[in-house]
Amino acid sequence: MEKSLLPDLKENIETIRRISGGSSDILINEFTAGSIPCALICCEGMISSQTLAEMVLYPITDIERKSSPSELFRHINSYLLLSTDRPEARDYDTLFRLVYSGFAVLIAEGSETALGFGIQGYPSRGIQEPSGESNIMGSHEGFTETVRVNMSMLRRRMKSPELVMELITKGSKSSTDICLCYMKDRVPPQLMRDIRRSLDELDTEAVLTTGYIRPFLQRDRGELFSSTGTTERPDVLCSRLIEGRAGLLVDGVPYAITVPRLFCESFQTVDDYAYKPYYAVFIRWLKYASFLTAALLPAVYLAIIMYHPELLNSTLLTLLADAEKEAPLSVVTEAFFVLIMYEMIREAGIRMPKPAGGAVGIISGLIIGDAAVKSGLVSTPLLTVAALSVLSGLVVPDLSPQITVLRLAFLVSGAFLGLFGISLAACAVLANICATETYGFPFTAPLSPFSSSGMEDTAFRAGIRRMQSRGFTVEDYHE
Amino acid sequence: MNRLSRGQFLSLLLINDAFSLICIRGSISLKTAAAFLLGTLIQLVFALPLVRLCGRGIGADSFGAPVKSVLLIYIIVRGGLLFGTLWETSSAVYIPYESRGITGKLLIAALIAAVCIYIAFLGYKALARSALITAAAGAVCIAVMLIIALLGHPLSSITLSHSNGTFLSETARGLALSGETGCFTLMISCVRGRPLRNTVAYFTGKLVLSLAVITASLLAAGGIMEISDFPVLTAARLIQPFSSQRTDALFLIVFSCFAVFALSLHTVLGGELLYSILPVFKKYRHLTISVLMTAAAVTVYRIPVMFTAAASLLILLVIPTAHIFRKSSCRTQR
Repeated sequence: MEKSLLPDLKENIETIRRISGGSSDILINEFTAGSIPCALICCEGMISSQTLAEMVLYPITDIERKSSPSELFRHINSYLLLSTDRPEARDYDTLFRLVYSGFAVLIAEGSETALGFGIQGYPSRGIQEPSGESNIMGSHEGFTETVRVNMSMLRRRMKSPELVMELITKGSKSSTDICLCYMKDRVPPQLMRDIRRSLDELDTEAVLTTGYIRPFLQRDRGELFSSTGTTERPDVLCSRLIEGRAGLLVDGVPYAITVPRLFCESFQTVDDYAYKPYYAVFIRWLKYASFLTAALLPAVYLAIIMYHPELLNSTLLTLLADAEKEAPLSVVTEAFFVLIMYEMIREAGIRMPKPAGGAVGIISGLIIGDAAVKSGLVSTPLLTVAALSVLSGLVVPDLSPQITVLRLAFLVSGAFLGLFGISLAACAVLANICATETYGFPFTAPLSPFSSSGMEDTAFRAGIRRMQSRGFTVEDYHE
Repeated sequence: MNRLSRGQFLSLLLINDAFSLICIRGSISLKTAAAFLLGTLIQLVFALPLVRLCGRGIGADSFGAPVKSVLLIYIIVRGGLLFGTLWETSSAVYIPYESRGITGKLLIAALIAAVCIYIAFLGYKALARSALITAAAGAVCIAVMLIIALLGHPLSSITLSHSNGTFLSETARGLALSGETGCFTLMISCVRGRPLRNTVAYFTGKLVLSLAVITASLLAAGGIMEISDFPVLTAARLIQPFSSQRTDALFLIVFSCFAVFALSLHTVLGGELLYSILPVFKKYRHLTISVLMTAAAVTVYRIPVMFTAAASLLILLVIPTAHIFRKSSCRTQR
């Protein structure tokens, strides 16, 4: 479509109508400015009508007679401050991109150039509390779907010229704005080169979620864990940028992508830095324990009661044996039944309309849970183990998809081969996690490869003064 | 081959040594510990020429197919011996289905081989990183085992010498057990830092590990050493931190993880050697090595200890010898 604009206004308008296919949301207002026939093209719903009338139409139509369209455009640019953002378009491709991005574009008789005015005014969701990364002591602002609002949230927190935000457009059909942000004094130059190269390779028709971009930023060799992170919190993104990571904001998505991602990030929250270090360390270890409990508890339970009962003391062994004796199904079937039921209920809770969500909770908790135990279909200890495992998984929501799959995989290995099977599966999973990396940054750093300074914010949480003085950037982990 | 950190290098090799120690058969005593000490020192002396060459940038990669073939054969045989040891020892630890005859044993072997091939497929870096974490967890387990043995068992259990073994035969046993000198030969040139420092760190670590495991075993199982087939496994059964429940099944986790990583290292190193000698095997190199190691486990498992001990020393001299030959042939050509 790269055709250049024509000097003939009528022909230009006809071409615009033809290219847009007579789309109803394209508005073309013809008028005279400075005695030169002009047209203002904009997209309904993408601009602020009030700003258009007060800041563009009224001043333009009031311009005195001009001899040529170039003089008219020079006058507008030099004497009228219609908007701060005034890009020029010389072809239809750029013109349509501007129009669909909320610009009002002025074309004039005899001019092969169009002038755009940034008067975006589309309705968007306001800034709200993040739904998945709640905290107590930190900010309660989360990203929205509008990339420029998200950029402003970053800039408000980082008033430094070192923070660079580059806007690029991706998606041959969607022309989605993507903002690449980084601290130019912190980010490793090689990382930026690698990210730019990956983005150049991004050749999709549309970018509708972060999932359209992330595969291009990470190698895919069957890794369980993603080597790029996401966050819906501007403060978290800022902290990652300060550590030398790069961020990507995508228009229409209230999440930012961060590159590279480390495994330990999933266990860190903003609150860790608001509390005293001793409490933050306790909470952090609680999360590590929760992750292991969530993935392994049902499998270890099955392995112990089926193959290694000597690990239990006599009281516990008798208790479990009595409970399982009453159940009509085998303990393996019971475990699968309970865990699959939970996954179904969870999925229903997410997809159901919100008013029905409460009902799902009541049905699952009271009717299915209580009735299953009372009817003897499921033993109480197994249900307790499953509930504990599920609850532990909720402590680390960032790893929820992986925990779900690992829990079932370990359950199979534990059910068939006991602790030996769990060990084999654990070795394979550990190697898989250790194989994950992005652009030479290992996912398992600073644990392996080991970095003693990195452990200050992984195994422990050193004081802020100490952490600020060490001048850490993610480049320290590059292998 | 990728560069390794010293921690990763030590972890990979010490996991192998720890697995060999866990599977040790026959009585052990203080004499065994002294013989292991001597054996380690002999290995260190034999390793010095290789270390010197590494300092000058000469490693296994600097030589052609004949040298690599010798190393490959050693890695396959050593991997086969480890596989055989695992097969034999698995009867002493409780693994479900293992007791169901040959099919059970084959199932266990196939599962371990599958995990090893998968880890090898993920690459040398993944293996090295995961070995570091496993070694750290294993070190904690061995430390706990030693502490409980020291606190809960009398020092009188330690026997100075058992009846069936001379000092020479014990030294040979120590040398035969720690046959990771092949892996050491291949990896030492790929480790960051000074080769001599890395070598001393490895042999010191090996010594500390051997002494810790032997001491814990002597304390816990010293009294019944004559009748215990696998002294370290017996010690693990006797070391119980709690009064009302047994924890020896947890030792199975350490055993399995060490077995997997020990065999994976041999699969990865063997695969790299095979690929550099015969590039046609690129796609199936790990599978081929696994098959060859299994075949070696069946055919050469009953190798005499003296032969294995000598091979573990001689393999350290392969590269220095090849270097001397190359230099002398260059002089002759001139």
